Amino acid sequence: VKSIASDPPEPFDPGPISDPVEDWSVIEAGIVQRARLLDRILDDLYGAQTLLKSGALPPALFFGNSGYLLPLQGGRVPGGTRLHCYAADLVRRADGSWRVRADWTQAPPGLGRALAGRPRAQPARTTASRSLTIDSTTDAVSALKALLGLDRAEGDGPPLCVVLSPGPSTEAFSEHALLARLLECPLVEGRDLTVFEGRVWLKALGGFRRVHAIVRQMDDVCCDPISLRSDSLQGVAGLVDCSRRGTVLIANALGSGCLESGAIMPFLPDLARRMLGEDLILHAHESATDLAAIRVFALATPDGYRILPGVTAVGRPFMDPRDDASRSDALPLPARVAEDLFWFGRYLERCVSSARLLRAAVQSGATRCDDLVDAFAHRPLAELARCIQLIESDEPLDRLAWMRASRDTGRAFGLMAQLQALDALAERMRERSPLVVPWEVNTLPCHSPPPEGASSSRLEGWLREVIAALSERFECAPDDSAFGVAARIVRLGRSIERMGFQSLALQVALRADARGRDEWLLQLYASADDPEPARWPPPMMGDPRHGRSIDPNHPARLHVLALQVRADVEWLFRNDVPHARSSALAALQALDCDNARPGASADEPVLMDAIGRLRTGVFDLSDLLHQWLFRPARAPRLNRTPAL
Amino acid sequence: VIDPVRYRVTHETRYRYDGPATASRQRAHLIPRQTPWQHLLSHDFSVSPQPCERWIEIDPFGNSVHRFSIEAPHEALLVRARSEVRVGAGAAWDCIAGCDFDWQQARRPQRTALGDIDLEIELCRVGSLRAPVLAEAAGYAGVSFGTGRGWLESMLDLNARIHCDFAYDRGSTTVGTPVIDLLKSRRGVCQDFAHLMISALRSIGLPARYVSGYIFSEGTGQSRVGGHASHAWVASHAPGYGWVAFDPTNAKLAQSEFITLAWGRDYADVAPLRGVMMGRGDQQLSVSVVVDLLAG
Repeated sequence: VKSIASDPPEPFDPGPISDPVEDWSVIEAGIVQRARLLDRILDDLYGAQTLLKSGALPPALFFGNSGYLLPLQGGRVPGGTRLHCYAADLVRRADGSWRVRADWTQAPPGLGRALAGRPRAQPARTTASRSLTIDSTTDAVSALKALLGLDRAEGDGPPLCVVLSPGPSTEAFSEHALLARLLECPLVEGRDLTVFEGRVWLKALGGFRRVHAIVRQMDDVCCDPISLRSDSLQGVAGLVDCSRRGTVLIANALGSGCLESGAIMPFLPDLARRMLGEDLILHAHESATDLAAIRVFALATPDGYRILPGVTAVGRPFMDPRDDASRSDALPLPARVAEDLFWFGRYLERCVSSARLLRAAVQSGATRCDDLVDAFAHRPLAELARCIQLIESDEPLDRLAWMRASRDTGRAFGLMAQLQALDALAERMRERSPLVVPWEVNTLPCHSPPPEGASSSRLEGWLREVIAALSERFECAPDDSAFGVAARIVRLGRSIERMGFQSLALQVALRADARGRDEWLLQLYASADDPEPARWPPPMMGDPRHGRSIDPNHPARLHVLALQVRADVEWLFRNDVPHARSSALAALQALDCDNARPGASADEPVLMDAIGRLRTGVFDLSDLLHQWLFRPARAPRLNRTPAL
Repeated sequence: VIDPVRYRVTHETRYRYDGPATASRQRAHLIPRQTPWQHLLSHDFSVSPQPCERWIEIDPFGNSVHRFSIEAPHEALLVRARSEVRVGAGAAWDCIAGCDFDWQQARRPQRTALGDIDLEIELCRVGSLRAPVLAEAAGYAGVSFGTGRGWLESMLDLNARIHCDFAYDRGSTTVGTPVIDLLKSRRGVCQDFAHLMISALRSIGLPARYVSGYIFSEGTGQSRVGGHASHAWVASHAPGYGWVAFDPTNAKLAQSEFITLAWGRDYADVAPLRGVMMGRGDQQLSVSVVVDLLAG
């Protein structure tokens, strides 16, 4: 069986077609006939099995083929079609006849490119006979959408179709993304889908969404770890059941790959006469010589199979996904992608917090004697750095400690390691979810570590660059477009991380000597470029005693952050099931910020207690989001099987 | 003539997960199969925690299969199947001596009463993932299947040779050990011997299927291997007679001490419990099987 991941067709020079009109009408008639025939054969193989029972096809040809899926036998398919998209590789022999070198019955590679490509010269239109070729690629995309039922609105809104891909490890992943884009469908992996109540569901942000149609870009045997090959983790447990019950349309139907092993080709002339009462138009190319081939695609339409105009499949370069973000509005965002966005926000903020802390520490050290580790500010900063594992608990606090914390990639929570983790996550998001990744992720700068042995001022300058590069991202107001939703989730991650860090900083500050406290807290939050740091009171109190002007709505303040988190969480859960909403609201109750408001009681034990609860509450909230909102439908995991 | 016997089988499977598991989807081949010689008297199947969905389906080989889903987080999974069966009534084991035709006859496709090719047999003639067609396996089988030799005689010879040539050694193989490795190492457990025999038979063109079930052994002695655990053996089709079951682990015909659960092409088709779930960390599996002989 050929892998579906083999090369998609390259841009093709239409040269070999000498007489376009005559050749093309033979090709289109031949491909349409072949698609009809193969669909009939599939119908028999998974239905009455008369071809096998009568010996017209040797049973071993299919029973020995892993693409023949036994559990599908006897099931029904919605609409009765199993072969929705078909492609054949054609070669032209010296005598001018066209021969079939390969049949593609599972997920014809290059379909996306064929649909996206420019129409070839339309030779058939010059003939008087009715053409079997679809006029334009636009019409072809509409035909495919109609095939998937996307043109019919059901009671509960438009049907949801997904493109199911094994993920970016497949060579053809860009092709899958292109197909998803053309069909305006979410691109999903097996773990985004789940099965219950005999139906397939997408675990989307905001709850489960019923999946009506699946464009399958995955090998037959990998599609269901329960009923098919158990060692494949790509598939969806229970997909075979849904397929058998006909509750989901799968294009092409599960099991259609068994015709791809060229073994059936010698039987086709007989079968064409027997099943269609026609002579086979396109015969098999048996010679081993490898001629250049063209791939011709056919689609099932209400009028029978029709040929795609995009034989010359010219690839189109990927567009900036923001070009037409509005078109993705209605698309559900897979929960897995949402989780990546959330963690991107948290990592980003963690990097910024660490960098701010390091900068404050370097500054406080620089203004005093280098080795004066017990300066008023230095000690609480060191404690804070230990709490977030920026420096290790038993590490000597010499003047190189901050440098090590900045550049040592070996320590998991060191700044450089965190920056690398952020980069890796951004890379993964760009790779896996190109359609929804916000611009800010795409343009994330890559940081090289500060030079070893750099002076304190060099290090401070490097830290300032890191803070500046990261902190301005995702400050834009999110809207309801797909990118707005993505930006909102990143912002939520950032806010939660920031609340965690700031509440920790305040706890350390309240335990420390009050002298100089406001100064170093200010350093933690003030932007290096801020002209008037005094306008930025420490987020905890903003006590008027200090005589500084207070901006009660500054985004760094805990109660402002808490309000924003509350708004974002409520928005994300707004359409979710009631018990999820109520647990989200309960978690939000813990973010009671009245004691952290400006002008609230400056009684330190009360404040300490309030901040402690806030800190616990915010991490509980993060856990809740993780468990409920972002949980994929299924993580790939196998039972261990009992040995005998 | 063998008197029918009654057995009660209690099969418990426990999983302990290090982290909570959710979104669990499982499939259990734990319902003893109804056959002409085996009658299922009662069956009780319980799962803890309570599944949110549960149903029984028939698989492509005609076995009844439990399916269930658990959504709630759980750190342990207990699956218990308790069945009572009567074995032996309706069996045609007495006539087995009639299978003395040339074994080559079994290589031809058989026709059903309607004149169709019997696809159930053909399905078991081709190699599968765990019991493939191999030149080495054909070579091993060839010693027993000489020209003109009788079918039953050859089958029993192969059955006995596997018992002699291979050492029963728990822990020497895993559920995934391929047949080709087994032919070199010459040690394994019942599942390996069954796969080997199936592979050998298919490699010379004979249909063979994998049977999963239990074997009853009296007392606590090790006289018969496989007692008080899941057991596996082989069935091959004899034209004009039907499927005959052989136990290469114990070098005998699988008759009234054998309780059949399910059959398929190989282990993967009929694994007692198979599924996926979401979770992290490691998992511990423990299985206990108790087979009791009941009076009457």
